[in-house]
Amino acid sequence: MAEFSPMMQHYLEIKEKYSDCLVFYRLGDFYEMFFDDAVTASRELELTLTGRDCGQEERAPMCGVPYHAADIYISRLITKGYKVAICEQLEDPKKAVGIVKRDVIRVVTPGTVLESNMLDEKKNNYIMSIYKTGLFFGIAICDISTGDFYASQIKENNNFIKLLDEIARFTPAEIVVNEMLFDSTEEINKIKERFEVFITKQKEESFGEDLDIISQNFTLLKDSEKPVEDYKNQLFAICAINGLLEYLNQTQKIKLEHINTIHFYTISRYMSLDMSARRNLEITERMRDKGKKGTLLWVLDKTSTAMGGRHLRRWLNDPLIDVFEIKQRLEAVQELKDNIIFRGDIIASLKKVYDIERLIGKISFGNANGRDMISLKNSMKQLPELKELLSKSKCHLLKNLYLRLDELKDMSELIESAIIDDPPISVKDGGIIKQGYNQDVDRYKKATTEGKQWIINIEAKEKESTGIKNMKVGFTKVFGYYLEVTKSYLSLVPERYIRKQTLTNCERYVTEELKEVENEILGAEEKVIALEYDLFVELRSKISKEIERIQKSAYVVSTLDVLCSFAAVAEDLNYIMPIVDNSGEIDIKDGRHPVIEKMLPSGSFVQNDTYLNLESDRLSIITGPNMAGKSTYMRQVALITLMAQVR
Amino acid sequence: MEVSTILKEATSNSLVILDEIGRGTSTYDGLSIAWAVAEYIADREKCGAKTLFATHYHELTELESKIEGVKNYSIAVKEKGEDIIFLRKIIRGGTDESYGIHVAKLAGVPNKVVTRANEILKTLERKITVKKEDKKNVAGQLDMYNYKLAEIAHTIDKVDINELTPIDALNVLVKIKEKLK
Ligand SMILES: Nc1ncnc2c1ncn2[C@@H]1O[C@H](COP(=O)(O)OP(=O)(O)OP(=O)(O)O)[C@@H](O)[C@H]1O
Ligand SMILES: [Mg+2]
Repeated sequence: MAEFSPMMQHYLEIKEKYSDCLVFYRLGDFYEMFFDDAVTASRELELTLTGRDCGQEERAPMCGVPYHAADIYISRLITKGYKVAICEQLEDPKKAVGIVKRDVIRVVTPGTVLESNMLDEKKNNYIMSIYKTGLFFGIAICDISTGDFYASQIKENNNFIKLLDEIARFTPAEIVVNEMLFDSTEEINKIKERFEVFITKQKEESFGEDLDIISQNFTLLKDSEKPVEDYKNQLFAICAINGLLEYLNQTQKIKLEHINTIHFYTISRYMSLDMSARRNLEITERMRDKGKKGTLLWVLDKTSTAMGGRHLRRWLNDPLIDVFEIKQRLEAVQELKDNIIFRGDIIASLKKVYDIERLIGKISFGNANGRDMISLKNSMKQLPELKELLSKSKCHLLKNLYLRLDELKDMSELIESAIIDDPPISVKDGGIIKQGYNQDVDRYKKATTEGKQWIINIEAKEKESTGIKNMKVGFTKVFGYYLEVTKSYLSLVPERYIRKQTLTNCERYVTEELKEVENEILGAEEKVIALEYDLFVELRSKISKEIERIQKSAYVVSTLDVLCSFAAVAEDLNYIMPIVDNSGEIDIKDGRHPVIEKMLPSGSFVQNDTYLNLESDRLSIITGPNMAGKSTYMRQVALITLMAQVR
Repeated sequence: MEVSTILKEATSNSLVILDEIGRGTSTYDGLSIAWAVAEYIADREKCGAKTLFATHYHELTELESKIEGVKNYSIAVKEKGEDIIFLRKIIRGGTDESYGIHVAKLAGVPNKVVTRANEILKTLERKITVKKEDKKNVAGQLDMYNYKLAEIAHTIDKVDINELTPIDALNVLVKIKEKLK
């Protein structure tokens, strides 16, 4: 049997390493797939299957997609349940000696997509890892597009049920499990039955107990935002974190600056909502179509930013049980509700804030372009105003947000000084850096813009000195700049002219001076493009170093956004502030079902009271004919209780 | 699975919502499940969670007089001739009438069928009234007792005398006696 061609040998090596993925192998302007991958992809993406010589007698089946449209194809494959390994050219093929160096730079999986066409802007895209040991579980959850990272463990009774509740809380797109969980078929099947989720098995060794890497690279926080001290009690959570980090390493291949803090949370801190309650109450997802319309979130979401939208969803998914924390939130909402002008000013400012979290995610991945930088800058420019507004607040929570809000003036000024206001999409074609930011850029740019004038000047000077009236300056890719003289004037051409080209009715010449100017102009264009790119990358990494500061401000902004949204909804729909205490009583006057009320013609919903306590009124038996409104009534009580406790 | 999870997990800090549990199972099984669950939850030693429990089994309204902390509510409707008007108001006290037929009418079931259903309902109601009079004489557990009788009737009904050996017959008798305990 003949040998495979060198390129194909390399392809096969890569494919063996990423055998569970479809490998997108970059060849020039295309990502190509070969053999079985090609057959699969051509079927799933309706691409034509062709062939390529590979050194064997038979050609290798092949199909490909153009690199600039790859995102769309990748997202289609991901939705169909495939993983895609992207194998890039790591050097310029023109400059390469022998076969071009290529390697996998990223593996795209449902839990790690970054392509904005696959992300819902008001929803986190989580990847979760579950470490099972005996009856216990450790869990770690991350949204790599924003950097959010949580971890916990389940060591109480009914562990598996608690685990299902946690999965329902986060609804991850992908779950990475250790072998022990993967092999317990019954549990895995239950997870698959209940959730539409992609499950990946990860080697047991990845889920190590080692704490060093974690503690050196991440800030570790507890529920209360205090540093974690007692790691020994967090062993299973740590195993889950290690498993997840290892998986992220394998798929993302680069250190991600924006993933820098891990929040350890205790499950008992949040209202425990079992899976079926979460589903039936339709808090953030409709049972029928998983959509947002017709859910509690749909009624309560008046957030102005994508970050606020995600934050609100998280809050609704984990209501608090601590009376003190709940009261702080309620006070803040009340203050914003009562103070309409204050709220209006804040909202007006929030509306100008872009998705800072995902923008810095892009920076950290090295994907951010000039426009992203400008969006980030414009967002940061709202911070001083927000800070000023918050300085007038009275309640504890808003004051706290005031203290935590970093205005990031240095960052926004830096971007403002470096990047032009309306940069192009590409970062590799120049035209990004502002005048005055870098001397060399300015000098080269002068050469490119004024160069045209220099050429025109030369033309005028030569016309004059030679007396050739119809002399023209021109440019071709092959010969560069030239002076063109028609046959009738050839006698006037001086000796210092160097002949370049002869055409039927004219001759083209260059002069020493023209060559020099040309060098300056042509060199400058190439140089400025390269330099602008370098400066842009440098700026991006400067910002990368300050990511934690930016994230803190983003957190303040999104919290404020949710609080304002609650206040606005409360005013619109005439909701009042509940009195929350530990008496164990539920006393609702004129309660309404937030969603049904909104769907019915206004004014037609009938309000009802509820009274329950721990003594005389514990169990209400509710009867009534079909369609009377029993289910609506009960759900309304549950939703009102939940809304009272959303932090 | 879901109800059993609730029973295991719920404490006096919980709010439990039970919507028609037992529906879908055969009438008697459903009733006994619903009954047992209500008793369990109302028991403060075992659970004591605040609970809203919607049910079609009007028998459960009897719990109000048996267990402290249980309160009956119903969602009010008004009958207007043959029609039914939903008032959507929750009021104290149980209902024990059947409205299924009205709903059928609302849902566009042909008139003939509704009329026939009404006839059947009338005969049934006559029978139920007899039972209700009995009930007044026997205190306490009567409804569960009637339910047991019905189960026994069901068991006997299922027996095929032609196929029954003497030993089988004895076994059936043992089962019946057990049920009556
Ligand atoms: N308080 C109310 N005010 C106005 N309309 C209501 C109210 N409660 C319920 N409804 C209307 O009645 C419809 C039926 O309510 P629901 O499903 O709660 O009835 P149900 O008693 O649970 O019925 P079933 O016994 O069939 O389960 C709702 O979809 C809603 O349109
Ligand atoms: Mg119902």
